[in-house]
Amino acid sequence: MTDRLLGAFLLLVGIAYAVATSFIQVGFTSDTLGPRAVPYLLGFVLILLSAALILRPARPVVIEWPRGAVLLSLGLAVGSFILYALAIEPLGFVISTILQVGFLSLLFGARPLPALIGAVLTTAALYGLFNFLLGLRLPGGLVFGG
Amino acid sequence: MLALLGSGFEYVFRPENLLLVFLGCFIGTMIGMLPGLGGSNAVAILLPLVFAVQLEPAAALILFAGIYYGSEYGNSISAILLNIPGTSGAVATTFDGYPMARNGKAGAALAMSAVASFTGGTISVVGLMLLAPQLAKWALHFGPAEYFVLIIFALTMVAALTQGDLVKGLIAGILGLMVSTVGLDPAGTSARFTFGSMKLYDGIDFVVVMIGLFAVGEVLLALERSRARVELVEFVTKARISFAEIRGAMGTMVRSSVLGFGIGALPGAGATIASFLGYTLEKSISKDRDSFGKGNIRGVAAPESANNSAANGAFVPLLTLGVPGSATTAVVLVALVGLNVTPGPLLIQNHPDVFWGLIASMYVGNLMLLALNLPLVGLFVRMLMIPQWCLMPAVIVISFIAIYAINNSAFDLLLISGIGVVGYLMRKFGFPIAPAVLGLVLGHLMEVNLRQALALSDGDWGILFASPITAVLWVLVALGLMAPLFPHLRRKLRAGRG
Repeated sequence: MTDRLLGAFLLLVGIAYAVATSFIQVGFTSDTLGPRAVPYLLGFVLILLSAALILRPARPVVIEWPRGAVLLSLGLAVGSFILYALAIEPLGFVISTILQVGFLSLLFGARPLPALIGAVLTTAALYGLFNFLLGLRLPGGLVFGG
Repeated sequence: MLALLGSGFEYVFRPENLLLVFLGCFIGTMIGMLPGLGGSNAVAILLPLVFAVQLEPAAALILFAGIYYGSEYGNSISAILLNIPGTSGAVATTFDGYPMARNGKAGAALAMSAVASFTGGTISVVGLMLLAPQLAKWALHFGPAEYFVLIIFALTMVAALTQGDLVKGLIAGILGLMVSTVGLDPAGTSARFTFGSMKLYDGIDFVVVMIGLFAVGEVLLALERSRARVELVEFVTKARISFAEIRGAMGTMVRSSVLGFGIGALPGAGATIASFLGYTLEKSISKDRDSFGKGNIRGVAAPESANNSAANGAFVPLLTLGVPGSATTAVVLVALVGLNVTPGPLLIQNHPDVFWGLIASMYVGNLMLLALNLPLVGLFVRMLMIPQWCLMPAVIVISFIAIYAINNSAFDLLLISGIGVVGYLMRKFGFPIAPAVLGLVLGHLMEVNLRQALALSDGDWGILFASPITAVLWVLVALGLMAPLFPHLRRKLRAGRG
């Protein structure tokens, strides 16, 4: 069943892609095929393949979806990625990385104290690596920025 | 040729380059050993760093190749000691490696694996060195039509031979191709699927996609599986083997190396398939067939020679045709192009330093790996006990910082998080990643060649079938598409993770 729903979704993607292709502006000095041919071809093949996914005999696919605590930890991890992305400039590398590493360590099953120690050590090691060895400019943020 | 090889060694023996070979081998062994992460992940994580510090192309290639073949050494350590292959290239190593460890012969199994990997690595470098320049010369005859069909062939083979079913593999490849069409078209006249956004004019950044799929997505999968506990059979500190045992496995190692090199050079069929076929071949010609699976040392030697040889063989299509045949070599292609070296038939001529530097580095790297894996194996075994909570957060931070360093853009960080979720979902739904990555990387080249071919023929599609080379490639494509009709063979070929 999952495969059929997935096939239907991909069929829509293929159609939408083909429709979007028809809006591509063709320049005056185009070659024989022009900019639309390949996208049309790709859209067509995707439509064919998703039709195959829908029409072929259903297979007993068992996808083990995460539930409960595992699902929660996945959600929290993705949430932490987003917060890390947003916080890295204002908070700076050091603070945001300690928070991110510590939080992810907890999600991966570390106990709080080792997670904190690990976070500080990892951040220090990576700071040394990026800043001194590779010479990358790390975001300093409010605390260390200048 | 000797002069060129000599200049390659001169390049590799510069201290900073020796360090890169060592780093590549070390990181490769470590990442290969740790279940869940493989060569393609390590190479993808390092990709933005290579751009950020602007490595020379030859140096970047040395590093990435070291990671690639190094991971084929390391993956056997966990296969033997934990019965968990570090990467799919070592699935076949568990068959006899783990029973050997259970029988108290873990040290011998680890040593055999190191020696077999070294043999495979060395034989395949010789093969690469002798074969690649010839193949490149021949590939100069390829016109746009041949190139177009070659790319179709590579994509089909990867879709047919990696894990998952064929239809899903093909869909993954098409989706990758579709993403590659975003931005200015190859003729540079029309904007496609940019929806008026200037940011999309240059297309989707490959580096961002690769980090999302191979680093962020992989960490999410690891998080989901992190409840599983691992148990070490034996805390090995020394890898020991007698010369008699090595001599006994010599024939096995040589046969598997040659086989592995040939298979590795084919698109789609990488280390995993090579190791299975090497194992199957040795088992079928052995006199004591029954001892395979119960701790036969040749059952370790065969897959380990084959997978290392295949890792080097995978550089043949990349360096001679410019067409990668695996996810890892697709990432290497992105690195080279980003550093202004376009792989193709002219690479060996125009950038002899890159090719010969790589060859020399492979000889050196295999010696280093032998040293790392024989006397120092205890160190790696200790690292096997590093908990995931130490490692995975570091993977995330390295990826985020490296991506940030390229454009100083927090938006890119949101993007890799989103693509990471897509990568996670793709794997859950059974869509292989390799064809998608290959499609993404090859989309531009495919379209350029198709359009040139049809411009040459004034719009006659017959040009795609006209030459003998295209005819042979189309037959191979058809065979690849018929792969589901031979379920038995297919199951054998792609057991394990691609």
